Amino acid sequence: MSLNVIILFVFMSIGVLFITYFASKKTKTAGSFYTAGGGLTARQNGLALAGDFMSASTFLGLIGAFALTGYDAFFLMYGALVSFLVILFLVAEPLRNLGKYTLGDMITARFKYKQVRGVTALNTMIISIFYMLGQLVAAGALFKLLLGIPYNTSVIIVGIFMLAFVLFGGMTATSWVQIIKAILLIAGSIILFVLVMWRLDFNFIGIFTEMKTTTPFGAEFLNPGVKYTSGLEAASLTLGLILGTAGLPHVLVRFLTVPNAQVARKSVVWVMWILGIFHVMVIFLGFGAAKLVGSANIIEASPGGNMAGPLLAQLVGGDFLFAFISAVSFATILAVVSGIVVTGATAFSHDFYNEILKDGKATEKQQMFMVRLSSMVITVISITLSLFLQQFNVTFLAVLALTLAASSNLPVILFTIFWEKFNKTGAIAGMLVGLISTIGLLALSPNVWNPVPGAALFTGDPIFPLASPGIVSIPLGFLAAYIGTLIGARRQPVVEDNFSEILVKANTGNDVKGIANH
Amino acid sequence: MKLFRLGVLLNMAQLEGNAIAKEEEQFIDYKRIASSEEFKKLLSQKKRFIVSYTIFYLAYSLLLPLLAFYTDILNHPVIGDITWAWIYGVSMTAMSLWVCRMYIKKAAQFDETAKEILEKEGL
Repeated sequence: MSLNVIILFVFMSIGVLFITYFASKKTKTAGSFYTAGGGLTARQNGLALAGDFMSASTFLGLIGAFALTGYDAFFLMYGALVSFLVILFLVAEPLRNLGKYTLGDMITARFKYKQVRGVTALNTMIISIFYMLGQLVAAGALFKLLLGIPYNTSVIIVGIFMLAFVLFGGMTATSWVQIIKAILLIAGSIILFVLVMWRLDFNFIGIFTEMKTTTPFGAEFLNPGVKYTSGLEAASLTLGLILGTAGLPHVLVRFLTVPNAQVARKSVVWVMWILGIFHVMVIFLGFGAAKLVGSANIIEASPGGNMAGPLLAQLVGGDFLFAFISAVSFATILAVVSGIVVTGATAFSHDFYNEILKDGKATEKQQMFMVRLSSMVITVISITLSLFLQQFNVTFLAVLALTLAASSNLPVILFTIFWEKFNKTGAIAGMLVGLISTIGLLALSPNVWNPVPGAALFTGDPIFPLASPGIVSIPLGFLAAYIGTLIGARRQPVVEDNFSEILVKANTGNDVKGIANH
Repeated sequence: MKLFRLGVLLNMAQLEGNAIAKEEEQFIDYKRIASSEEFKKLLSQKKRFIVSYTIFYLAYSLLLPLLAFYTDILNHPVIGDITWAWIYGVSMTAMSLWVCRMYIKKAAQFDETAKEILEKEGL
């Protein structure tokens, strides 16, 4: 580990501790812990969203994907940007207008049943833990590569660090860490981009011609099909990305940290511009890595291509830029996992503990204790599990979390807002079938079964052919919500419904302060 | 009052306490607002806008893998060795930002209408 790396890490740690100190002064109530008091501005929340959403796999993974698989990296990338359109058009504003602290609040605004809240909270926690596992395992592998710290140690360091500031600073500290991380990430990418293009004489067209001869794939590198063999697989992956982000609890909860629908909407504009700019630069960063570092060296450092970015930084910017990119990656993982922990812990403390067990009558003190306790429990569970997952390729964890979100959360969110006949049975059926079918299909997929011993969790032929089950499980989630509604309607035909209230609140925002005195 | 509370508890054991409390505090006739002409008009305008754009951007996104894997039309070079496939891929960013901009513009109009409806109801 070089001196540069140590100095930068010390700097960053001090910065994070400062943020935590100031945030802890503002975090006196459960509401401020859950959603930073709902007082962020559009720019702050937009940056925090970018910081929440852009994980190490976005930053390092995409550079590696463009360097190693050429065109096919697009299928990993653009779905994320489009997913924010789904959020903007369908989810963000109704969620802000109906919800308070959690997704459970929004769904139970219409179906005031404890079972509905319980299943929503359970869903949130399962998705959060799977998503977090993917992040932690990636963190362990990354710091082992970047800094030579052993896998177990780095997972535990990330976990403890994150826990320390989540416990004291809650959503306020988390938001600020995400904001600063987003700024660092964009700044790092721009610096790297300019230095790389300098080396390539800013020849944006010529680099494509060079790509035809620099990689082992030859001219095929520029055509689709290097990594994905079927259009169905690529379409399923794209669909999962597009619809998955719109159901991810830790992304959705960021729309509850702003005062009204207008701010929620404007923060999407921020995150889309940030992602959009990054998506264009990352293509050339990938090409630069393939050309300057070379595929062989990238694969040698890590077969998945995660080292393409850091190696490129070292080549064009020396040890300092390498240290900077490593520090940014650390901040990236920290920001993402802390967002997930706050979301999962809020679902437990607010939904399970306060609303279900205590009928909404828990004191501030009890809630603060419970949310801190559940943050610790979630972190300990995730760290323990990720210590066992070291040997396995864990991309499927991220796929699992996204597909789960798309198959179990999204159908219920959309039907709750838009479908008058939707009922409690439909909501519970949609969530449970989405949850079970995604986990089931993934357990039978090539991610878990591989004929080559040791390549996956089990040895054998996969029963389900696709690695991303979205194209099957997402329609299943919608179908189950629909059929559940029909069954529920037959069993309990006349139900006092508050759909008109939901419609008015979702579309005018009269339940939240803001638009009326706008 | 106590008896009433008990009755509520017995009848709607599943219902959540604080949601009921909220209903009691303030009564707004949502059914009437929801069935008013202005509100219905706002909803149908919103629906038309949201549905048509959503179909557009979803189709635009899902068309790429299908064209890329089942046809060759994207593999022709346009500028230098940059093929249509790359242009389509990068256009995903431009398309998303454009659709986002259209939404922001339209949403400001919807806000005005929503505000008028609420003001008329004295909310």
